[in-house]
Amino acid sequence: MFHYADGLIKLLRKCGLTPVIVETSAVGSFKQNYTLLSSMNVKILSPSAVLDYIRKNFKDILFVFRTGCFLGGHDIRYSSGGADVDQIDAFYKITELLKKNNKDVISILAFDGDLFLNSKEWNRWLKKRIKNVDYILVDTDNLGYYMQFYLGIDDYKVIRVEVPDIEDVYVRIFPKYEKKVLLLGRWFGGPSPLSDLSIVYLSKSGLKFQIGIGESYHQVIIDRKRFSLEYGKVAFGLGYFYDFYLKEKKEENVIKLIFEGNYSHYQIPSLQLYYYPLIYGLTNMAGKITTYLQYGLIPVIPYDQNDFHREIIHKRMAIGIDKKLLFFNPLEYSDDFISWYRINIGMNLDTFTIAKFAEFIHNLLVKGDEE
Amino acid sequence: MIKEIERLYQKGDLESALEKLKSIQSLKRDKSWYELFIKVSVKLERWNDARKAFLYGYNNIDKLDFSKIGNELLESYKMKSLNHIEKMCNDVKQKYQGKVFS
Repeated sequence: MFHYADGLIKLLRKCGLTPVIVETSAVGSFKQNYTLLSSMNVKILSPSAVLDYIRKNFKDILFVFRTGCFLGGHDIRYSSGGADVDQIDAFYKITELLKKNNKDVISILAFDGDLFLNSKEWNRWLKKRIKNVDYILVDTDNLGYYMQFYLGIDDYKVIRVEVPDIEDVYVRIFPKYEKKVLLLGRWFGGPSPLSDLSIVYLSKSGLKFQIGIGESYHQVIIDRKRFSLEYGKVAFGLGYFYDFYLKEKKEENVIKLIFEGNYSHYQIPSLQLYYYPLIYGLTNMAGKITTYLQYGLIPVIPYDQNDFHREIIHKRMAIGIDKKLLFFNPLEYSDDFISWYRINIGMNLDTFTIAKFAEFIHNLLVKGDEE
Repeated sequence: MIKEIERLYQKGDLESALEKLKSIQSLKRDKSWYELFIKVSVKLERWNDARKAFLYGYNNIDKLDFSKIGNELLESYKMKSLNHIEKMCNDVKQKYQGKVFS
């Protein structure tokens, strides 16, 4: 699922560009994305209309862009209905066709954290389709390294795409905060440093919010404001701890872990269906962390080797939990401390908004180079 | 002194205002100093100075309305970031209006 798709569309329109979405046969897996984009009056091409559109408009097409996952041979692919393979194949074919007719077309492929490269066969399949891509964007440096290690492709940039527009950031300072920890989205289970008494469960409130993903742009706008009013004073947000407390090995050598970890799997106890590779904890930038930051809630995350985690911990935007700490008590943090962190979050917008991608597009199109 | 600096700020002579603010000894810096220093730093787009003054003042000065100042600081920074994107987008628009992003 494409998070914050509206942010990208708004950015392109601000730049006077016309976004056109290509629907693939895996449309069912991304229904919410398509309905959201329809509600923004974005042109959506059905698979049968793509060729005709390209034939008529190839001179005016600047970019071909795709963001999302690649699950390779991993069992979790069954949950996505093959959408990853379908989309990357369509991206490859459209790009090849366009480049034959318009050599100036730029191809950009973005991967979110759900990139799993544990099958040689699928890696070969992927490499064939991405070797001529002009720009590969990733959420974390670890993900880029992982890709480099298994695909031999080292030309990537850490630029986050599935992030909110700056207009949709609601970081506010209050004299007093609710000293609790909000839990958004799914929970992988496993040990965490939280007592149930400290957690605010969004799902238990009976409310549903369309924030990062939604079915209607109108509803997304309403829900983002509603969420800010309802939860804007909550001090913290709980991130994923994955297998943080279960790992026996020290994470001193992330390269070694990437190499070894790819073959290790752990189960998501809450779902009992999916197994994520160990690498996920080191390469993923969880969508829920972005949402916490969007509202100034301080993420509570493991102090591990995930470079996105490290970045926001070092910038004093998140609390990094050391493995020795078995209990995080939100009441120990003063209102001043929380305001301090909120200022840091609100003044580091490049880290979790579309700002960096906007800079990338600008440099590429106006300066003729990405640097 | 602060009133004189305030006048410089109102006239738009921000560099002089900043210089005079910095000349005031740190122990004599009170609520009005912090309020003005943050305002001048924001106008000069010295975001790190404004952020540091806010954080230092937060811990050391009583009776300063930090919710108000903090929110103004965040809003100013957000506006600056939005304006920067707007400017970049205008550059793109001038060059490529009507092109397609697929």
